[in-house]
Amino acid sequence: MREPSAKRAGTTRAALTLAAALAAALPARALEPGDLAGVRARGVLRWGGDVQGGEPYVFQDPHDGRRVLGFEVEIAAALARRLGVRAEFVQNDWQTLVPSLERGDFDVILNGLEVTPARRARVAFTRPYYAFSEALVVRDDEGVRGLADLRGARVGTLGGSLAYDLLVATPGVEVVLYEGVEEPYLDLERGRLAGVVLDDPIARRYGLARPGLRLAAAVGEGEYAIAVRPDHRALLAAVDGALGATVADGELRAILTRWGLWNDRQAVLAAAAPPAPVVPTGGRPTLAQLGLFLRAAGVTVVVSALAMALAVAGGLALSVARRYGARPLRAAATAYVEVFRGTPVLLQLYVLYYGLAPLLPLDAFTAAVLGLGLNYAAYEAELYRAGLDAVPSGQTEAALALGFSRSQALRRIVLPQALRVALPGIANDFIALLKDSSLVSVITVVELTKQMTITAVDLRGWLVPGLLCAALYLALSYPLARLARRLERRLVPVAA
Amino acid sequence: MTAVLAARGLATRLGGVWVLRDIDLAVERGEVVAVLGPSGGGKSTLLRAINYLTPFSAGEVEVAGHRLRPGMSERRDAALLRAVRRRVGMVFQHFHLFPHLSALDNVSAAPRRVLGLGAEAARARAHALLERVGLGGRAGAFPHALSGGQQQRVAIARALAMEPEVLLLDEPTSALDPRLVGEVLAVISDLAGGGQTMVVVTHELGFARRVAGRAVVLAGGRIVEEGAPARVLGAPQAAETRAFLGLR
Repeated sequence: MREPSAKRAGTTRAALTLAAALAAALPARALEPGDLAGVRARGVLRWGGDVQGGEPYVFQDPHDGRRVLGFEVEIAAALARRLGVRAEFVQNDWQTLVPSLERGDFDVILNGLEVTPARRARVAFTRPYYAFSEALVVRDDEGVRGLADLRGARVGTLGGSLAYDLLVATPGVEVVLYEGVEEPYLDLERGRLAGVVLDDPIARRYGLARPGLRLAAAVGEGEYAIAVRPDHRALLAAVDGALGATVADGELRAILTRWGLWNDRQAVLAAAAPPAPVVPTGGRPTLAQLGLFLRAAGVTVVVSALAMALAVAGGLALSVARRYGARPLRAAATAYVEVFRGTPVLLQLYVLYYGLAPLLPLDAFTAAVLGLGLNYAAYEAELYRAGLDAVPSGQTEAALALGFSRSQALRRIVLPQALRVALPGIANDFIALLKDSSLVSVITVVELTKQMTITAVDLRGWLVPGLLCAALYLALSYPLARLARRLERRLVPVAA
Repeated sequence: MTAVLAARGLATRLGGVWVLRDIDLAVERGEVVAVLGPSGGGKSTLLRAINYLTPFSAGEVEVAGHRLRPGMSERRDAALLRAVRRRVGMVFQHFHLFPHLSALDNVSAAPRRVLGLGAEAARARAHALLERVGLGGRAGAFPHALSGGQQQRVAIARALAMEPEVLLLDEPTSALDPRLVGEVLAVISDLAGGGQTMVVVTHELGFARRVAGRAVVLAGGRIVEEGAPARVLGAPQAAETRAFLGLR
């Protein structure tokens, strides 16, 4: 995170070279034998999913961490058996399932992947294996009956989901994005959200299981299907055929029934004529998406600037307490620095936002600024300490000899000099903080990096959003880097 | 004549060694006292004890009715210490100018912050003092842009800005190039001529003879001899003084 300033000059170029090399290396994976022939040759159907999606889709066997359970595990096994191969689960972050499929990390996606026009344009889908509804869950004590009652309110969902598209298209609703399925319902219970919209299997397992929450309405519907790379036409046909067979002979119904998922909706789906598998066309970035990026960059700047202000003030208080405070105060300040420096900022954000919620219900933005600020304060305190050490004791003596009080000597004479020594390091830390601010997306703040992942899913490509995101970060950090270098040149000789 | 500064039975023990013992020293208004003696004799410690920058172990110091005693703390006795220090100016061997402030701000800082003068009044006072030490044209310069001699003259102006009852100068020319010594000694001589009460620790014997009204020889932490400079330097009585002067 922090590097010696002398090394910095070459770092940017090195990073660009590395990125170019990686980009060149990526397509090589896709050249491995794929399609149906590849699956047959290996004797394995590799299917991608995310165990973090949890029950009832795919989740770790609580008694055997190496095994996965879930209705999709059973569907995968049934399909593989019909293809004459073995099914093998590949763990992958849910948001990046599509790019990983394209990279060739696995042969199919089978993990609650909703059929949307955007996804249709990028991957090929088999016939659906499950018809879900979008469940709006609210607190018992509130008379919400539909999305129309939630105008101006905060509604939670998962990024990249159909529910997200649905909410974005609903005027007046503030959408709050989560990475896991547990946290939105947690925040709904605590009043941070007015409602949560997610697929009904998730709502049943994670939302409605909590006392105090109830189903307000089904606000949409959709289907899960298996995704295959568009150029793997033989595999698409084979998997689609195998799925058709599990529908025809009742095996799919048996699996869904076992998991408590069979209902009228599924009966309708099974009876309907299977739609022809669709081969994608393509998607292009829009001006509106660029606007979202700039807005997200604004969030990054505001969060970083406020957090840095907090860190600079807090670090000053810590370093003064450590140097001039009474013994207990010194010990407390030292403990603070060691704890906040010695544990991951990601963990601190989780604890602050979710862990402390029963005692201290912070909103996400406040928690983000506070979390980053408190963490960086520990680092700033160390910079000030180095600055204070660099001021000769003769300076304090000269001030005291003139009749300055101790606090005047500190404020007027010692601190301004210490600050000059610390300033280049502080500017450097601000750059680091700017990039670390991407971590606050875990507590639902949509900043630049989060916006990049959202747009990447929308656009069905990571390259353009990724480069745009990188360009914006550079545009923000480069002036800071220049400023830091100028401060180093100008201020250090004066203090020496 | 009244003593503006009196040390009685002053003793300082540092790291198990008595660096000062039984010091009795009274300085009259307008008097210039030169403190002479071998290195390690306790000269600097004596000056630092007078405004309690180095705490002393026994005895007392009295300045304008305020008495400093052993065992005081910077925190607890802050008011008393400030009352004494604002009346006792200090000039250090190594200047200790504030590097982040211009010459003018170095001089005007204490009148503003300690005496509560308005910004304009403090600046006017600082300008006059810089003029007096021959640096009227360098008011805006920062310490790093000044020569050693100029820095020490700013430091003298800084101490004078508090209008101290007594000015303590701790080897004010020892850290300077020989060619810069003269300009600083000239300023100090000028102050003496103007009636400023001073205690000067110095190795410049000619200067002491010319400017000081009294010479005090400190050796082994004690005052071994004192008297008119011409007498002390011309016909030393104490063996320590004779050794210090290179006589047998």
